[in-house]
Amino acid sequence: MTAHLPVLQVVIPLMAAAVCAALRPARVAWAFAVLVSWTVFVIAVLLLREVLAGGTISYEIGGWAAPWGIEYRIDVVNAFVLLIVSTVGAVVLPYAGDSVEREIRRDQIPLFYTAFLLCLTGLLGITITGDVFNVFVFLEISSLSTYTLVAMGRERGALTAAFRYLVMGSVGATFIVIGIGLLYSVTGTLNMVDLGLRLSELTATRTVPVAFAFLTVGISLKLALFPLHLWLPNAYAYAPSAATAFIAATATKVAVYMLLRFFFTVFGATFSFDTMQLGFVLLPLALVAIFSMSLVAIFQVNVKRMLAYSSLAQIGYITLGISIGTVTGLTAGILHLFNHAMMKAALFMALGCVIYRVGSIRIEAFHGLGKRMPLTMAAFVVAGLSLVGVPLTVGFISKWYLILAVLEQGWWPVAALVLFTSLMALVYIWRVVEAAYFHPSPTDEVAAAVREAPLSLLIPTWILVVVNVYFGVDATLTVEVAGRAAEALLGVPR
Amino acid sequence: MTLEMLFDMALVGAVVVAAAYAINAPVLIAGVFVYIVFGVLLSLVWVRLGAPDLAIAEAAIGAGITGAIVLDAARQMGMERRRNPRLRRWPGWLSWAATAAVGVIFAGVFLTVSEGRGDLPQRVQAELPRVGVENEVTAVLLSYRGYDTWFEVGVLLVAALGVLALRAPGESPARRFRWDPPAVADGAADMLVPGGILMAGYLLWQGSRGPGGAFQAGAVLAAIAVLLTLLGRPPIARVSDRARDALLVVGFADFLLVGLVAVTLGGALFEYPPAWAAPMILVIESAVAVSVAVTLSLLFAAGGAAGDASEGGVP
Repeated sequence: MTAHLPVLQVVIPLMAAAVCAALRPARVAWAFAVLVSWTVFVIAVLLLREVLAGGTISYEIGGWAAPWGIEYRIDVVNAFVLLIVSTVGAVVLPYAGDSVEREIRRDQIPLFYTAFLLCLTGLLGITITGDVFNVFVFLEISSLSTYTLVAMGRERGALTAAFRYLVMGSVGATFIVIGIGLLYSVTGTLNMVDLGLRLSELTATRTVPVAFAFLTVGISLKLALFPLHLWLPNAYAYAPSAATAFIAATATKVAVYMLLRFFFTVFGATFSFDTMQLGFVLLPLALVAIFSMSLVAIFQVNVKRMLAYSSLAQIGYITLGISIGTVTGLTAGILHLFNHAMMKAALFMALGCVIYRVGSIRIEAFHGLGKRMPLTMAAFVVAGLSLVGVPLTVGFISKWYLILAVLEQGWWPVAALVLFTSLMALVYIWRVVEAAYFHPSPTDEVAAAVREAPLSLLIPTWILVVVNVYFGVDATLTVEVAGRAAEALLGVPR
Repeated sequence: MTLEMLFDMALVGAVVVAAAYAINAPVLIAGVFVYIVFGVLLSLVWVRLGAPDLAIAEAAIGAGITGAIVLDAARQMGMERRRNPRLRRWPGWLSWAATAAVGVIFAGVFLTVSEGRGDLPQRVQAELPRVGVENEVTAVLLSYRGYDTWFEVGVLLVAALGVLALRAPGESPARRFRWDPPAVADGAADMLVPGGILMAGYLLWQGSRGPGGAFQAGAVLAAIAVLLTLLGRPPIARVSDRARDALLVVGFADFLLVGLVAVTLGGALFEYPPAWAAPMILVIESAVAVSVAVTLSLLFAAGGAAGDASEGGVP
């Protein structure tokens, strides 16, 4: 049985999604989805343990050996990303039970869980596979289900946001499939490792750089890298709370993973960084994203949208780490994949609690919530401090390694920018804190009726808050795994 | 210069012009019509490139069904005679210039790309006896990469679920198409429908030997369903919601079941024993064709179901 874990990681949620669509009433569909997400989480933990102990796992599907058939290939890098995705899924789905009932029409709820499980399947599939066309197929599954999740938001704007995301996402997917097609045309293979071997002899041809360009632009659209980020703020702002928490914490992370896989395993670090000079493209874009998106976040009135812009800045930090191209830089980037997933999921879940009780997430709606919803707001504050990068939270660990990597290169101004933008994060988080703790609540009856969110929402939120603090105090595990992943990508022997 | 080359050049030129006009048409509805023409021309390009499988799929899906969906959307939004909204913000020549610039850049990139060739096609050909079907496209789709294809069937299911999830409460798709069509249209349908069903069956049966297969057969069936829907007799309205959901899922489920049968016969998932491969693949393809047909016709019939089901305007 354990030999089949790689394929079960993907097939279980997929089959479950088909079953889930037929389950009534909504509560049964929810319980089923939660059970599936926990199973998926356990499989991801087992896979990571196996990879850490025994090295890369290769699994052939259909009995056809790699270049013909499809191979699943799991090393430290994707085992870690699998864990991130399945952890967030396993925490957000229990939370979704009550949250979704407030935000989605009753007869649509089973379909919400179906789309959620399909999204989970797609993201896990992109991460686990060792075949570039298989990546594209899973990308379609995750993208289509994400558009559906966004469109289920209760406001009318959700439809426009989903449509815009669909158009941009389709352009990105088309670029990716063109890149894959070009690679196939010169190598005749779709297997990543096989591609890596054959491409190292072919880099002089013109086709390979063109494929590289198409893939980079296509994946950057999915990743919402500045200036290809325009779809993201509205998609996050209008999606149902549980969907936002899940998508914000996982979708862009998986896109980063795709970028890493193509840059390092398929094209190779030498080609990507020396021949194509990737660092010179990514670095300025990352810096502009970090600064401009933090600035825009400060001026948002809708707190959900504020956090969406903050995510764009955080994607900038991750790309900054990658653009350096050293082991420390990559470690920082991969570490922040995990850390940002944990802090952003916690923050969006705290916002979901506010929507559940107050119904609005405009900044004025937070007035006096420090007293009325103390646990929710405390969770928001701790996760917010993590976002800023205060010591004893995971955010600090990320920033620490990022600054270390930048200083290794002697880039003082960049280090200063990282510190300065952390202060900007403090400003936008402080606006919420100020509204919640230093403004008296409105005196009308509606506001007086606001109580603390139910435990079904608070417990999952607080689990992530505790993770933020735990791995902020003792980061040995995460730093170790991220470091090994970076070394595996760069091919540095241990 | 041979006649064939002249034809090819004229064809490529027409594709480019149609694509550019579809983007820049001053009146939206004209752009939609040219978009449908573009799909037909593109399917001819596939024929010339020796890919008849793609040509059939392109004609049925690219030109037929997406064309019908876009046309229907334009009609529902009352855009028949409306000017292209982009042209209010942009002068026409700028829009054309931008299209031309993008076109020239892409053409420049692709014309310089070297034509490489891996040895995979030969290796696939050599292994065909082990798979048990004669058509290499079918072999790749259902055997070597059966797993991918299974997921592609899943993608269609996701699309259908997405459409169902966005429906207004209690809305039955296709209600808005109930009308009495002119007798001549009915007469045409009497001829087209049986012929189309026959063609779909042939494509399905043919799939293991030559061009054809589940997706093409399903697309042709769906095109017929769209035609019937337009004539006020939507087939999708004749089945209950439960039955419709079952038909949507049947291809996906059947694909996996047959794959699992292969496991019980001693192979891996989707590794069919050569003697049984042809019938097993036909069983998969038949179910997939049904799901493809139901999904595509649902995409058309359910479009615009939110809110404006009442005939004669917006409520």
